[in-house]
Amino acid sequence: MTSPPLTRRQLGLLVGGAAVSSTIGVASAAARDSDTIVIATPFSARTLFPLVDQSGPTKAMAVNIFDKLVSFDIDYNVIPALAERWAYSDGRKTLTFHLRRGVTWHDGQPFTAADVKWFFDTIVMKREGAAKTAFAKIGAQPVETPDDHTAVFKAAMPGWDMTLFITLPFVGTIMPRHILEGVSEADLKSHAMNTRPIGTGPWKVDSYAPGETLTMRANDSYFRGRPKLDRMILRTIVQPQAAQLAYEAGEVDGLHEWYSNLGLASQLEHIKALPKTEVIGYSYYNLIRLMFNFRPEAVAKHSWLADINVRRAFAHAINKPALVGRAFRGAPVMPANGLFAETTTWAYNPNTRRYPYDPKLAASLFDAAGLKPDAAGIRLRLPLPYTNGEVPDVVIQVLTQMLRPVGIQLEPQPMEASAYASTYWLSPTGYKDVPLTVYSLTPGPTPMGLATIYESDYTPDKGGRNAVFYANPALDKLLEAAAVEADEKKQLQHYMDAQAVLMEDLPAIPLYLSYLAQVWNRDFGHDPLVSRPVHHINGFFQVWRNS
Amino acid sequence: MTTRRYLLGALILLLPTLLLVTAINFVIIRLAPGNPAILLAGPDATVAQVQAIQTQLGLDRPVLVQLAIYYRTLLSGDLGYSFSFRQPVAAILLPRLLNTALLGGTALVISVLVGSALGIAAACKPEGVFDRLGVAGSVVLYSTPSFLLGVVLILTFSVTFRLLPTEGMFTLGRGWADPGSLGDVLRHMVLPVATLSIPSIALFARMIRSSMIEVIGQDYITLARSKGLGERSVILRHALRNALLGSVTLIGLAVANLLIGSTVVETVFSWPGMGRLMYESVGLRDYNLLLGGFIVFSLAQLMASFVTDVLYTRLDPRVRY
Repeated sequence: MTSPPLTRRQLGLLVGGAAVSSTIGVASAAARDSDTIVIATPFSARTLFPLVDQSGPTKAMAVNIFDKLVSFDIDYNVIPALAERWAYSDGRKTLTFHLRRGVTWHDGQPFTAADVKWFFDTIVMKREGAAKTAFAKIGAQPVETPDDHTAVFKAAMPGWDMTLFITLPFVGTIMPRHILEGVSEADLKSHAMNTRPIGTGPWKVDSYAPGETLTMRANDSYFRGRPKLDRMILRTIVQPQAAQLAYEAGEVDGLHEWYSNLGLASQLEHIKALPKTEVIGYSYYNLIRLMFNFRPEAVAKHSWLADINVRRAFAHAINKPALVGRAFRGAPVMPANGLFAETTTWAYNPNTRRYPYDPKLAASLFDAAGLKPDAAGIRLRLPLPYTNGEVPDVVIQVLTQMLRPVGIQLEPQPMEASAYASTYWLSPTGYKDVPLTVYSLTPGPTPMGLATIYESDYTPDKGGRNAVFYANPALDKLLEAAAVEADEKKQLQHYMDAQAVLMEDLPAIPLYLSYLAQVWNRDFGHDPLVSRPVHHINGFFQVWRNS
Repeated sequence: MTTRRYLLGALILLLPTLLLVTAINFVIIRLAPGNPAILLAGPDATVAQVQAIQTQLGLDRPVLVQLAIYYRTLLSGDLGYSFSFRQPVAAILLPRLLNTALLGGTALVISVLVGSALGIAAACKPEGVFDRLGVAGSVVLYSTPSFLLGVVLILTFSVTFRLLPTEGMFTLGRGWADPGSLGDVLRHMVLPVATLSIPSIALFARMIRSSMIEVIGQDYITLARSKGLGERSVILRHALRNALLGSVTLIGLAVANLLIGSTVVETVFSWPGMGRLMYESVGLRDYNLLLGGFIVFSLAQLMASFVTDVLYTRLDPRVRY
């Protein structure tokens, strides 16, 4: 990026600006001591309290303040956190967590099994939501606490799974009983936990200006060891370009989720070329898909939705590498070939049915299904709602161009995220008969999430995220068997098989994996855990200044 | 007497105008698709959970009932409760309003002063080099989008010369309580104020220039000159006072422009003001916060018009209502 030549007036301002700044003193960065890191984040969280707000921004802040019982390492293997070890018994109907000793809350109170019992019995299993549904599904019983450092989870069926304790909404932020017990739902909203939360995490909140700046100080008694820096400031800069400029001017030391699919590859190259700059880009499990709608209202209007050959014809008409290449102009975005993200290598099944790009085959499949082109060469005119917060407009444009030659005329309808969420997805009054959309609805990093999106029992009215009402008895059987399988190897095999069934039946066409980039000033070092998607799960704990 | 009555009437009309504007805004916000309950509940919420939140927020009631409830709260002097901040709207708006006023007020004063000076200078020698350059330049500057102007200024003064901060109101970790905070805020103000005022300066300069040229051509100026008055006195005493009348109206309009402009400028510079707050609240469908913000904006605009009316009667004895 080069600055345009200055106009005469701008030159005047330059002189004027220089005069002003010399009189009031150029002190930029002087106020920052060496043991502080400033990270710019696009997230504008209005509360830090996950119990009142489960949206992404709050979660992204709260992971630095709270802890989970267990967590993920970089390959999504389960690692200890507040629980130092765990054991299954009774054919996986019982799960015993042995809690770490000597852990304290930020206010000095000890963390014990009583906190865990209170949190799961009265919050997780009582509040309406995906967590309650998941626990109820296996017949979870109240937590037993034989001593202060043991929490025993029992259920009517085998099915305890570590993923439940990591990725379910707000389950991953164990709350302090001594502060919250007896507080009514209504009082939670104005509770001090919204701005000065007490957790067990590596960082304590120093001050918080909602949507502006979160200043945190190291928790001296953190159980994994004190953070190596004294202070961490998360500064909200919503505009990616403004964040980039703040970084270039040396005002922030890192950019958190800066690229997030929306920027251009050229911008990525520009920032990579800056001095002392490390750019970490990665694809992650957020799978962008072209989704078919199986709600009765949609199938009644578009009977071809139920025809597997038509769905396959769509798949053959899309050239994924070309789509990604043209839309992201050379940025390393990964095309997706399965309905579970291949970034979780241990659970991904690479041997599922593929749909190579073959427009001729696509056309003949459409023909065979009775979808003949009209005089203008168009077989279907289809509205395509999407939200450009999640899927860049350019992806939809390229997709539209790609499908036009086979006779599919998409009519893209870009929507702002909240409008999209309420008109199309969850709202009981939403557009139920829209045949297609492009969206992510991620099952998360582990295959246990597949059920909440593809199992017929998980439609939104029953507390799941199968918003398109997809129903496949063979898949249901596999996913249900997996959920209650006591043997871990057999369980994984069920999930592998489920991925194969999904790609056969094709309820959605996988397009690509979302791509994120972080930018770090090389003055700072960091653990790989904070530079991968798992930072959403682990927060910014291990960051230090290079001497 | 009649003037006073007119102004009093205008003042009394403020409240019904405000209530009407509120009703319009209320309906428009609800007409936009989107639902705060879904956003509050988060991506993993169930339909039941969304409905529970809707009931809790009163969003399941008919819109007219919601409007009636809102009016009742409003007339008791309360702006209601923000869904997303979980705080009273007034408590959220006030500090941000002051920040916006600081930015906008400074920009307004600078626009008027610098704009007038440039306009007068151009009018003194119409069709001169300065005038021609000024007219062309003002078109360019007035039509430059503020996000572009803001980014160009940041690139020049923050990234290249490292003279001024790119964003925020304070150096991180500082606040009003810290020593030297005034200088700190001033440094952070330079670029956003420049971004806000450059288009307004261009606008004022053009306006003053054309009304000055018109006034200077009139007989009484010729008379003043033939009386032997100095050029400075002719321009500043006789011509400017009359030329200013037209631009008083413009100040009223400029307030509206600055309020609108603040949304973009505050977002580019991460300035903790009303504009950015409103922009982010639209995405969250925080109805009460948005309405509160609109009310404050409308009130500011109405007050600006009112003050313009008052100023007219003071500046021009001929004006009678």
